[in-house]
Amino acid sequence: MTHAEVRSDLGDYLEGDLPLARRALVDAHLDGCPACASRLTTLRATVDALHSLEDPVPPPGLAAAVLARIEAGEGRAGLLARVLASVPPNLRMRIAMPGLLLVSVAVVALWLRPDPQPPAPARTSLQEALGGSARVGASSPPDASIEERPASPVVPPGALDEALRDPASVLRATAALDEAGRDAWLAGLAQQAGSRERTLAVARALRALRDPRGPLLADAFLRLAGLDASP
Amino acid sequence: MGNEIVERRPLPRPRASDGGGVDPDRELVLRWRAGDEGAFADLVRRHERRVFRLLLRMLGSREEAEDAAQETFLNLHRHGHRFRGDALFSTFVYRVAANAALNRRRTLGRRHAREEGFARAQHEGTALTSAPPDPEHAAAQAERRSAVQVALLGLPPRLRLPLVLYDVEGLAYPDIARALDVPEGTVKSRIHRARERLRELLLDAGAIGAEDLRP
Repeated sequence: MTHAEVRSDLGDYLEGDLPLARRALVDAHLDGCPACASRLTTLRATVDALHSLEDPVPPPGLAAAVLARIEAGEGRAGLLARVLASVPPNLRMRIAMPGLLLVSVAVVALWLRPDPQPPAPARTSLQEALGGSARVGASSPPDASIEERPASPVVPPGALDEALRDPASVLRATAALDEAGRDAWLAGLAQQAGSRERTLAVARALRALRDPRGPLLADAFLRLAGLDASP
Repeated sequence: MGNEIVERRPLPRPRASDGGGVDPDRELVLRWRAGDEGAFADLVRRHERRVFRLLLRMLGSREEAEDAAQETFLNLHRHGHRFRGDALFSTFVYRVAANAALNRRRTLGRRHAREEGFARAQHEGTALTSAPPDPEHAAAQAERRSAVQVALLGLPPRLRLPLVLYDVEGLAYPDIARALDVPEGTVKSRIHRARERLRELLLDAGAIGAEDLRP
């Protein structure tokens, strides 16, 4: 056996854990090797030194101090630990895994979120945005941005020409709108008219419709265009 | 060297793992779990000596050991529900105490702890000695114990802990493996390495050597 092999065996040798055949080999080496024999002796002395350490007596107040601290509430587990303690160990993972998954998804979602947008202004109703029918055509309230108005009052280009050619197109365009939306749409149409003559021409065409809504639309149109309802 | 007598006998240490036998703490643990705090007080009194001894050897100071022992029992009270009864309750106590020792060293900071520990160990080694019939011999013994404690503190905690559990507390490998939650083979190799390192430290300190090699 080499010195290194013997030295790596000395721990087991000392414990009596070596198989007999191996122990015999170590013994044979120790018989002729003072260095390894001395190592065994000092290793044994090390263990003896550990055994020679005194058995200390704990401070007399140790148990009392512990019990006083428990009495004061220090020995209680946190709420989470107590709740977990009441859950059988085999169920803890089943509960923990969906929770972990949710947390992971939330973290990823937060990470992927676009740059924060400024908070949207409080949404204003269309009636408020237009300030009622009397204010249509006037400037909108400062807090009512264009985006807040429904798309319906947006009058497409060429709507006036279409109205002159086919007045029923005004009926169709405003059919789905509420009163405020309809007024907004008509106000946009009046702006497209651009002149008193074209405005009156549209009003007349609307009145001429067989639909009973025609005259009402005509009156509203004239009013919103700033003209008297009576031609 | 050929004429010198080298002790060849294995160390006389009958060790038995805790597996199989009835846990002497079983009754108290059951009563405590049923809400009897008096039973927990009995468990503290029953285990305080071994907890304090382990912590003193791990930390090198009575003061630190007392604080860590209090933490151990408070943690035991807090987390006693984790004890499943598949090992002796005393093994579970060792486990909690070992954690308290390791946490305490982390809290103190390695360097600070070591420096403090060295100074305290030297002081404790002397202070622990009771009134001797032979002052000279007793002083030598105290000095040797102090050197052993200082050398112990020179070992990294992962080696010191299994060594103390084995050579001071007298636990068997399987029980240490359970207490430290590491494989038994790891426990064994760490104990051997710890003894080797301690041997070198004690030789350097002159606590073992010429006298031990004398025939």
